[in-house]
Amino acid sequence: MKKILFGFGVLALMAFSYTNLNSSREIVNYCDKEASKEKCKKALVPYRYSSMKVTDVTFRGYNQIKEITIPLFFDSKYRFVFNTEGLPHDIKIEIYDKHSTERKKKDEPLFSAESSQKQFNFEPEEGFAGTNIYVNYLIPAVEPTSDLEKGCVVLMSGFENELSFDSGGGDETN
Amino acid sequence: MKKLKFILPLFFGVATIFSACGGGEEAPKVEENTTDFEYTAEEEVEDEPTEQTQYFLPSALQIGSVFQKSGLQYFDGIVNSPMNVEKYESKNAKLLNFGTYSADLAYCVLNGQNQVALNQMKALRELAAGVGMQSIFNSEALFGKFERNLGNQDSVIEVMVQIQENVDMFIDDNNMQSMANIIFAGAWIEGMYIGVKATSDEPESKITGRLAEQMVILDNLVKALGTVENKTEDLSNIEKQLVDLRNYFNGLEEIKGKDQINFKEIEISIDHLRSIADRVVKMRTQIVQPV
Repeated sequence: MKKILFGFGVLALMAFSYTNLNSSREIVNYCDKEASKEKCKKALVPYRYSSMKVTDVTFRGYNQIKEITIPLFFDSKYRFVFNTEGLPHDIKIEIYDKHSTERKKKDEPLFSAESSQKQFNFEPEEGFAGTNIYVNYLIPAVEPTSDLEKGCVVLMSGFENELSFDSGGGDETN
Repeated sequence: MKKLKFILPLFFGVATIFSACGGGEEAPKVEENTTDFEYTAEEEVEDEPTEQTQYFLPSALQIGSVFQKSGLQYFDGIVNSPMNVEKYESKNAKLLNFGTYSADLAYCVLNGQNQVALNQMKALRELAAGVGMQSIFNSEALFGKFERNLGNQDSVIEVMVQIQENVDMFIDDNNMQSMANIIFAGAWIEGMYIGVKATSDEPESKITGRLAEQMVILDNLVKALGTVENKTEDLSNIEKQLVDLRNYFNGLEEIKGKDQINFKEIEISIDHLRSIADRVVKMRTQIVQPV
């Protein structure tokens, strides 16, 4: 009986240590928003900045997907710049013309890329008839470590600058 | 010692049960041995957004440029008066009108009305301070640059873009996506209002296309506003009217049942257009002239 209790105690001790280790995991964040943002901005040229979204990613012991819905104006030209330098592990980026709840398994993405590319652009084709695009970040499971690893994807959008400026003669440029 | 041998395992056993109940990383319920990706809601106490789907909405400048591309002219007196700023007391009223003035600013700047734009900018600055976002003006440097470059269209637009970037960064740094959604609601409604009011003698078809195109955004706006927690009564009221407008538009015989709509060629009857315009004007009035 004592042996059984002792054995139970050892097991309990191991489980207790594991749980405590898990709950006290340090968060290590690899995201450098400012640096990524600056690189995205350069890649937007000659498109004009419209919006930006930083998606935080926490790598866990299971697969995850995050979806971003982006409405598009008809007849406008866009450039979307993705910067994934702030990720400690690779993820996959897929862009669809249907929301995840409306997609069938056979539906192919309009665009897909691996985050190992670090930075890439997506420009919807001219005449794209949809009203939204759906960006999916496919985040794979990672082996648990003593640290909780976080990172981010910076997504920046620009629209074609079709404005005509008839005024000029400014007094200052910066 | 024998007692200790007995008590220790018991202690750890109980401790384990307690700690297992409260801590650790808990995966959502997924089937074992699956390699499929699951749509997961974040259950962590960390600062990641909890919604499954996020919305990426355009800036007021982009909405303005879409209108401009469709030939929208500048009309005096349409924009929200900067004198109204003092009327906005609740945080939501300030955020909605931050959106309103952002859209007005874009409308003025894109039409070369930079002196009017300066007043809209002053209103924006005051509202930003009212909601703790004064840092978006980079310690007044951006405002000063805007003021000094009123004669230089490109520089003025650059300042607007810079402010928009700062707003986006501020929202992100402080995990305030809800704020962004409320601001966008104000900007979208003001953009629609301008689209309705700045029409004069334009052909009906042109106005139809312009307004219909903006409706693409409405569904996303409604969903984005749905994620805002603890809405005040005024915001809930605006949200309800936006939902009604979306349902009205989607239920129109010209729209209903169509998978894809060609916004260039769409034709909406004048009665339906008037009804859309009336709803927009009502919402906008409630935002800029709170009771």
